[in-house]
Amino acid sequence: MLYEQLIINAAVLGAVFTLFALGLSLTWGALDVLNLAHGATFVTSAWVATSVYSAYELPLASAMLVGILTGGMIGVVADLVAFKPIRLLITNKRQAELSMVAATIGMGFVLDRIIGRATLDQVFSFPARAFPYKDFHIFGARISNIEIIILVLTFLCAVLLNLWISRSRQGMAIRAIAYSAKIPPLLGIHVDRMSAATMAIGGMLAGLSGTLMTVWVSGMAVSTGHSFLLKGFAIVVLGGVGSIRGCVLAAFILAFAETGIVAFGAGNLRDLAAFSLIVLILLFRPQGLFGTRSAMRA
Amino acid sequence: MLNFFSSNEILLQTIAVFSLLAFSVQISLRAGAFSLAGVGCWAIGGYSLAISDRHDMHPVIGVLIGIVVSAIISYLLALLLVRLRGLYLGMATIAFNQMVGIALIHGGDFTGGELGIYGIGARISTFQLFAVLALVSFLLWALERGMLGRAYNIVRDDEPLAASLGIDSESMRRFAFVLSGAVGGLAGALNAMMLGIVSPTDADFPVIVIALTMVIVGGYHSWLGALIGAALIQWLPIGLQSFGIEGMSEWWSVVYGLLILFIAVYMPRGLLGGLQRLGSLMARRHQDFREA
Amino acid sequence: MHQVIERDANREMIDMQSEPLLNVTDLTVNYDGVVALDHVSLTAPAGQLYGLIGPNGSGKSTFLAAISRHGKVTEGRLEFAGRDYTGEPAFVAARLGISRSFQTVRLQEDLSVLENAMVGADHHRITRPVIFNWLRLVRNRREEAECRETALSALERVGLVDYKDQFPSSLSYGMQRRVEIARCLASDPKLLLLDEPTAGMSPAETDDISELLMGLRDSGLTQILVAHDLSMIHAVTDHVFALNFGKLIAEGNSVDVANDPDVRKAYIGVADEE
Repeated sequence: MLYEQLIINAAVLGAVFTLFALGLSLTWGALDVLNLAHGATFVTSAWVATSVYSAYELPLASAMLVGILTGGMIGVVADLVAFKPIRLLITNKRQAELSMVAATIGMGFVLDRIIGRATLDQVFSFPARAFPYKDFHIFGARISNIEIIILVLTFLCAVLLNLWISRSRQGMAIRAIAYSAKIPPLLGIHVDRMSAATMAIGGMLAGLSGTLMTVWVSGMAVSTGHSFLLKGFAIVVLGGVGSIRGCVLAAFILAFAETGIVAFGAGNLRDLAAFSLIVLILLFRPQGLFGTRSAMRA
Repeated sequence: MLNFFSSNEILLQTIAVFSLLAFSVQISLRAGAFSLAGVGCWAIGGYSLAISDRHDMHPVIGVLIGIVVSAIISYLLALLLVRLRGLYLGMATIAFNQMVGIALIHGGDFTGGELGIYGIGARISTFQLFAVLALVSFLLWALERGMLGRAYNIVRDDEPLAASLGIDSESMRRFAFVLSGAVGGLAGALNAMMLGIVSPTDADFPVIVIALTMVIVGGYHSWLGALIGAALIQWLPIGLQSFGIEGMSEWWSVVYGLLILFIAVYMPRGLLGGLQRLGSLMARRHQDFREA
Repeated sequence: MHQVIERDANREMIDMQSEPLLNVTDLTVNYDGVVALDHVSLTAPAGQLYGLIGPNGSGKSTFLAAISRHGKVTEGRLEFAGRDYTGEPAFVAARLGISRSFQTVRLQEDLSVLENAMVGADHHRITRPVIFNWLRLVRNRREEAECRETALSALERVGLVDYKDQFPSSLSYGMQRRVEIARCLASDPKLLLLDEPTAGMSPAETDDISELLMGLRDSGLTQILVAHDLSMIHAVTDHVFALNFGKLIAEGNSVDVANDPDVRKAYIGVADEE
């Protein structure tokens, strides 16, 4: 067991976690939505990508793009079908929060069943020769080209997302919505549009994470979505809702913790890492590492 | 009539047990605490019964142990968590549930590891189940009327107002938390008797989702909503099949998902809330007729 | 109808003698560097209707929040009827007898007017832990009837007992405000804090509230009223405190305070009072 190999594996896992969790953090932070359909979005996008690849013989990159866009579309549909009407119809904040969570559960059910049926509850992936794997050797460990791509893409996404949120007008609008529900309309911000945009981006990140994961491990199933969902929440809570830095850091912490636990033999305690993390953080530092939003009652 | 009961006995028993689980979530939500820890207590209650059964204790003792252990753990949890707001509390309780599951897997011979405990000898009759259900319903009803009912509504809806009226919100929420755990433990113990087995997956995500959705669909403002939700959700897969729609057994979870989605958006107070609104609309219509 | 209250020399002497109901010493509230209240000290003997005025941002709401313990206190001491309650949470302050209304009306929409008032009357029973209130069905029935009576008489005091079975949504804003005051009254308070109770009301509604408050004062209820309507302040209050930038800049009867040069300076741009 080479430590360097473990580090690379953990890093790539961390990268995939990061993409997934960024989408979750964005919607939680900006829209106060616990998107329990994020995992289903992740799986659905991957499945669409693999199906489209096989059915239409597209180049892999195009198929992946389709997957990403699928994720984005699911996000937008979720916003139109659930979040927008809830914003309109339900004025009590706490009730709205609960309803939005419940709505995402419902949507998750629907997607899970559809994909589960389509895949006959089996693992699915891209065909074996879809991706031209090529290994490189650094520091005595093996890293494949897909792994490098994942790391690079994640880095780019994190940086771009950070720039966009902090510098662009839409980014600032999203931060305004996260801060208050009443002020943005007064500033001329279209809450509906920003909400749809946020959900689209969150969905696309899930889609990107899903398609990359499918290529990397050559296997994805509906259950992977559930597993990622739980871990995604652990990451967002650890990193601090709405903080990109926190999200990235937390994703890597979790990935390294998990990889370490598995490597050192306590494999079946692997999931314990995520949950213990959630509880400990919520007890002692509910706002996470870099969080800005208040998690406590007055 | 008797035919109906005997052929649907399992369904009725399941409804009774899951109604209690739904109650445990409802109690908390009604007090404004988004806690799903009742599900973890469901597992704890079930295992308490299973383990005490293994030691040849009377089932009533087993159930009581389940309730007491759940209540104590919930109290400790409440001390730690009750200042967390909204979604964060929800997350923490979900994490707690998962940790219960993991603890059960690693409990060695005491908890039967990954397989759980099977062959529970204690049994309970449908009548007894419904008697318990009626009793707990009564207890919850008492919590929803008069002064406590008014106070809990305010604790849920408007905390500063509650404080300005002299209401100790934290203490009331803590009480709801503990009661929620106790009822969850009771539900789990009865479930163990009904099924004869307990397993570490009893505190897992699927149970959490069912518990939450029963309450959302039925309406979380009242125990009656939770009951309605439980009955509907447990009946749904069977009911859909009996409509004879082609392939319904495969797709019932899609119907389920759409139902939850629809109710969450358009009927935030659940089916009960919808029925109440309908009732008051009709009452007003009737009144208009009389005044005309 | 505007009345100017004549200063009653006898009454002033009585005031000086009664023990202060509220004693605020060096109250300072600091929000991350912004000093909302700066070493405010004042005493408020019982039985008076006090006004609290000041331009926007002067700290009036912060003051009410601090003394009702809804807002934080950075420094200083708060005493109510001789008891130091500076560190207590809001619900304890309420149980001591400090009742407050908020800037916006906060009635329960799904409860009737009577039920909303009963919420206030629950005040005394709610101090018991839930478990003691839960299953005492017989006792609860009796106490519920008493609660109802208390609520009804509170509604009578504000003149709304005929509306007892209606719901807040069918009442005018002024009436909703009165229901809120009834709710406060049902809790038998010793000090009533009113944060802009007549904001957004018509002159007629404002007069109704003014008369109500004066009536309450006459029957012995101590009140602190935050208002922007200076004519109402003149008409209704016995003693006024003026804040600016978190400091107490003047106090006295309303006419003197209105003429105080510091107060006039604080209100630059405001036209002459009547």
